[in-house]
Amino acid sequence: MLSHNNLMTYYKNTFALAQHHKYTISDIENLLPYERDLYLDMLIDFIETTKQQQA
Amino acid sequence: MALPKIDQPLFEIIIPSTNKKAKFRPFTVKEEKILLIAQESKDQNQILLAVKQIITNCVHEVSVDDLSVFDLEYLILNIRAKSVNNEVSFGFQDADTEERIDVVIDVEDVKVQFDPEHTKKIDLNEQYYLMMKYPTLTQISELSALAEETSETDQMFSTMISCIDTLIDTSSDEVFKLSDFTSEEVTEFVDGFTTQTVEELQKFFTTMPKLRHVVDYKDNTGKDKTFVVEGMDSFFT
Repeated sequence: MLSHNNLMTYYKNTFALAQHHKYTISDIENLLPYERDLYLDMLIDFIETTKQQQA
Repeated sequence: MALPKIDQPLFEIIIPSTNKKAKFRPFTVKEEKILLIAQESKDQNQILLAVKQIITNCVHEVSVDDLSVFDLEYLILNIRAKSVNNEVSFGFQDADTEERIDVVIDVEDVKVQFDPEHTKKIDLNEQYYLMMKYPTLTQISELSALAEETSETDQMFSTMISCIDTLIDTSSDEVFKLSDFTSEEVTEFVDGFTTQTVEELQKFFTTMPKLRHVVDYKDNTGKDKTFVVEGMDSFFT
């Protein structure tokens, strides 16, 4: 049922969002899991697009 | 008491055992952590406790302690569908070819299966009948705590007693709630059951509703096979 995530990934993603992208941990914790996954996907897309534009 | 703050979408669900509607919200990332910690512990009691905690937080107007195990399984699966996504992927080993089979289940397809032969009414004789209730998570936890100290027969007997809700006298329409009697009185009453009544009680448990899903797949020889996912253990590991 929880095959989508594990505790290690949970902390890694929360840390990355808080440390590198200025989200607060309480903001992240109040999201729904699918919202967090969507924001993560959009963030990865945004970073990729920015990298491509800079290259 | 302050009014609840509604900041999450609400959804409706029908509780399988009662057929009554209830509202629930998805769990948050913070609540997902509770489930992940429990999953990491691999301790069945901690998993059950976490599931109960999430259902208490997310489902409105329902007393979790009164819900049967299959209700809780159905609820947590549906809450998960609205919180994460409605697809659960998992793998298992084929018994014949020993290959690993990866499958994806749509949670919306998983339903509580009701056996047409199942009944909550157990006739004792022409005058009396029993009305049964489904075991709750609390009862199961209490019984599993006693499992090491008691024999299998005693456990079966305790489960039976804990699931008898009422005794009805059809001649006077009097209803006796078994929880109003002492354990000695109830034990004495149950000791008087005939073999046929005990068999009927056993049938109540074996035909009890179950959260069950059949997955169709083909093994590497092209043979059509099925895999049954059933109960809390299968869905939560």
